[in-house]
Amino acid sequence: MNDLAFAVELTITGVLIGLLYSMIALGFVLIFKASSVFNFAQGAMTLFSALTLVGLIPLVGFWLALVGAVLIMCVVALVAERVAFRPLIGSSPLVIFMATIGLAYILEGFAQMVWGTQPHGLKLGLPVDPLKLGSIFISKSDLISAGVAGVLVALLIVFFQYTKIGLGLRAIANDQIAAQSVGIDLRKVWAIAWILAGFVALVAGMLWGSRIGVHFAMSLIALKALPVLIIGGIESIPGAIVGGIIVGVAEALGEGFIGPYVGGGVQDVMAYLVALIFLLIRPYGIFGQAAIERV
Amino acid sequence: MSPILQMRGVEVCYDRAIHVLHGLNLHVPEKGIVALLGPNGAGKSTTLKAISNLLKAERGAVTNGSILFEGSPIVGKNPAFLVRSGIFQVMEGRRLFTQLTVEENLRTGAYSRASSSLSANLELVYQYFPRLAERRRQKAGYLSGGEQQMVAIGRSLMAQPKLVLLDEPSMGLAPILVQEIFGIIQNLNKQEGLSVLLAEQNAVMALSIVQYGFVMDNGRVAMEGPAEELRRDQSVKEFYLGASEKGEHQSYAAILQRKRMAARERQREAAGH
Repeated sequence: MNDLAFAVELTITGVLIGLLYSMIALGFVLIFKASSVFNFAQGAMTLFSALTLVGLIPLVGFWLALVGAVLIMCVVALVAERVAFRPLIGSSPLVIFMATIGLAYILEGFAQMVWGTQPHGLKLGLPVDPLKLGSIFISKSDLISAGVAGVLVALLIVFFQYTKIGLGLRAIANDQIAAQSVGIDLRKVWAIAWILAGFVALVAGMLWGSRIGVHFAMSLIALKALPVLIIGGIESIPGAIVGGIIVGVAEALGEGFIGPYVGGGVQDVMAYLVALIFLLIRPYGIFGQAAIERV
Repeated sequence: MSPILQMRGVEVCYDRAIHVLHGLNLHVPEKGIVALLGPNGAGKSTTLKAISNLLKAERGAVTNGSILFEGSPIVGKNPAFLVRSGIFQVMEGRRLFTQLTVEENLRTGAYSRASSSLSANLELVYQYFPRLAERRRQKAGYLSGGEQQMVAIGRSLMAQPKLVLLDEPSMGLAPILVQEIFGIIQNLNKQEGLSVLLAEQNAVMALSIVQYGFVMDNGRVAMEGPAEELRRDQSVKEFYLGASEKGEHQSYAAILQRKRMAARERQREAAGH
């Protein structure tokens, strides 16, 4: 019984943390869908937005700071798209990938310049006492974070599926040149994709920041998005969600059950282990698109 | 009538190094239907992409000459702007959004138009292609080649274009389907007043529905004329029907070469002897 309750508790915790991984992965998915570019700067954008938020809160209060951070992320996204990516239309994906690495360094450097290198705490006023269900404890703040992530994901799915810009984004994801040929303005749609990615980065930065504090290691959490993307499929929003949950649960269960025997540290490997298995059996991920080919 | 499209001395270069068009001259009359013929690699697709400005994605650029659409220069304009202005290219190989449904594909065609005209335009497309109405919820990637070509043409109609650039609509289709598609293209030209520039390797089919044709070879217009004239022309026939009287295949360049030699011979005779 105890083991079972423990397993359930770990699973629930895993799901909740997994949704936070999904948030990071989602930023990658948005840019990848729009431009087939793996945006190395997503982690830096997360850090940058969280630092901006934390920096603004003491000056203007939480809500105004949130609005300010959203606006600043919009500006960052638009500038990045205009200055770095638009001139590279038609370049090889590797060139564009390198541009995202450059963007990551610029954002990290700029954030340090403006907000300093000190780690910051971010208090969202989420409850600290756990929720008790029988013998199972669940963190309320994790529950709320996961709820926020869930709502954001639902909104994004509706946006992609039912709006004109969403249709444009899906068309571009499918065939960029054909999308241009039917009159979809790549520049506008890209700008919107970058703004969305910036917004997702902000939400992820906020939720992660309240969990582990805002500091430079945050851009490394982005690396956790890699296994999530491999498992879920890099061009799929539901894939990011499911992949995130799988990684979260695998980590929690691995640490809880295998960890004690090997002296801990299992958590950090689990994600990559699962990703490796997926690479072997389903390399395009659960929801990834195997190309439709007529024969 | 004034032409809806006019290209003068157009040169196109890929990667700033590879010249593909060397001074192309071409025009499409208002509400006209014109064929652009020529073998593989003659520059037909490049010509269409120069008009619709889809060259940039392939690192190509118009380096010289002018392209006028309804009298105004359009070289270097954003492709989305050109679609809004009324130029729509149906690309070679159909290039559908395979992961989107048929109807979603059609809706992407209307991306540059106000959503108020959407349902009327869909209606029009389904009227021309009733088969697509049955398949509207299917993923486009799973349609047959002929149906995919119908979606590609239907998608262009959704943009309410004035000039449609069709790149090899016959590619990979059975002759009966080619006939059906070409019939529809002809109808669109006649009934909707659509101007059409049709790039085709299938010269016999193309010349049967167009009014005028340009024959390209090696980045230039090698010959032009009304469709019946081109149909009768011996060198076009030799080239496209594939065999000369001697029964051997010849490249268009070889045929022209022979013609030029003969002309030079005559000149020399007239001048010298």
